[in-house]
Amino acid sequence: MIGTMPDTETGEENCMEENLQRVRKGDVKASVHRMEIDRIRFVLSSYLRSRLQKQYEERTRIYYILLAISQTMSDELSEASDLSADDNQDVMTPAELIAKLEEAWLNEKFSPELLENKSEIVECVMEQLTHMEENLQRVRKGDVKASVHRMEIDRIRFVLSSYLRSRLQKIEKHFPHILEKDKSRAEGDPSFLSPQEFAFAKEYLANTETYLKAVALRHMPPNLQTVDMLKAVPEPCLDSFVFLRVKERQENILVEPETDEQREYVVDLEEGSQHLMRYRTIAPLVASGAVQLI
Amino acid sequence: MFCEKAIELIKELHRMGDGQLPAFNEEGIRQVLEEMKALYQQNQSDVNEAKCEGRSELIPTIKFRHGCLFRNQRCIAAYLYDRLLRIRALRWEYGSVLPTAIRFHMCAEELQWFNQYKKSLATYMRSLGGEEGLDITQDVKPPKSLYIEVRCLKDHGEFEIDDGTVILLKKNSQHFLPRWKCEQLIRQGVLEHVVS
Repeated sequence: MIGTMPDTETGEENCMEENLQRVRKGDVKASVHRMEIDRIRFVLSSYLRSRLQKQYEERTRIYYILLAISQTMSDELSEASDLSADDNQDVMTPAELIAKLEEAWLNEKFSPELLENKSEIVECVMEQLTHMEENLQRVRKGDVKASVHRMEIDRIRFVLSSYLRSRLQKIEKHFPHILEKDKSRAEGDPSFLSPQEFAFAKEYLANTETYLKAVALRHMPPNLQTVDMLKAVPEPCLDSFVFLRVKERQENILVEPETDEQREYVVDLEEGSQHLMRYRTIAPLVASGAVQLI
Repeated sequence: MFCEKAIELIKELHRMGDGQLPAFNEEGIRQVLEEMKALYQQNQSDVNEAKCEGRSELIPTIKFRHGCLFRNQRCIAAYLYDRLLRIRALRWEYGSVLPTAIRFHMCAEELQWFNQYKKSLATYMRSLGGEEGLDITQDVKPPKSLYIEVRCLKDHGEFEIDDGTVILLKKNSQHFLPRWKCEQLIRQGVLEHVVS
């Protein structure tokens, strides 16, 4: 515990120092007094130091307690939202949620094609973020823990934005193929696009088609007034190479030949090992979560 | 030669380098379209002739012209589409309001496309998560620290930070600001991140 702070010492020290100024030089008394002053100053600063130390420790302790409280609060929060979203799903702690987000983010960032949407994760994280922001509003100004939390929020928001951004970029890049794939999926299969992304992709396609028509195509000869978007816009290149880390051991992965001279062969992927492979070979494993792109 | 004008359009874009938007070449497009029209008319009369009078020696010429027509169409579509991609990148860089110098380089239809794109993007971002949505054009770089030191490159006027304090952004003044507030201003070129 920190005791109450007596505040007279410093005054006394100054007083002694002033007295010392008045003593003539070479006096024996002076050096004795000087020693005394130094001793007192040492005791004083050591006292103040230990007070500061204690204050700091107490603050850190309070911070950890508050952190724990906010953790449990958000635990409950994510529990509630998880339960309402899907009853069979295991309850996720915020740490697990963030880990899941990071996994989805990395996979999305490094895979050449659009992966399955993870809108539950996005929603949960968004909820978490608003919740944390609300908590932050209650904290008084200049508090140490506020800035730590702020930083955490910023980081999570960056990951989330970056994840959504890379999805949107892929949609814009390959929109005709993505919409085509969405159209051809079987009834009842989950869509790769979230409803919002689907709306965006459709608008983007319509907008671009209208534009091309308005500027040039309608002035062209009648047999050339349409452009086949599927042919004009590049397809995602599934043969590009990706780095991956294996999370669950896989056996007998068939690697197709790259050139005509090579022959196909089979590899086993050990858990924890890292590889550089063509995306097409391991696409199903990425989807199932058995490997992680890095 | 056929298709030269169309290739010229593509080269013009290519020469500008990454992300820069040259003025919309309406004249070039018009010339290509006229060339296409002429080619098409010649082809039609030749087709009629080949059909009625059985002149099969015309067929290779017709095929050649047809190829040219397709090439022209492809080039124009590529020109326009590449411009759209550049305009799209501008939306992410400058936010929803473009500088007038850039607007000047766009044709009316491009502006229309841009507005529509802006709208789609805004709808998408609003629909994310809670009621306010999430602005994913922010937070482009991973955060390293909460506050960054910035220098003002031009007069911007007053600027309000989260806690309500208003600061005056004057040219050549330096400030210590929350990163998430000034990211966009940095991209617009109003502020400069001072790395010491």
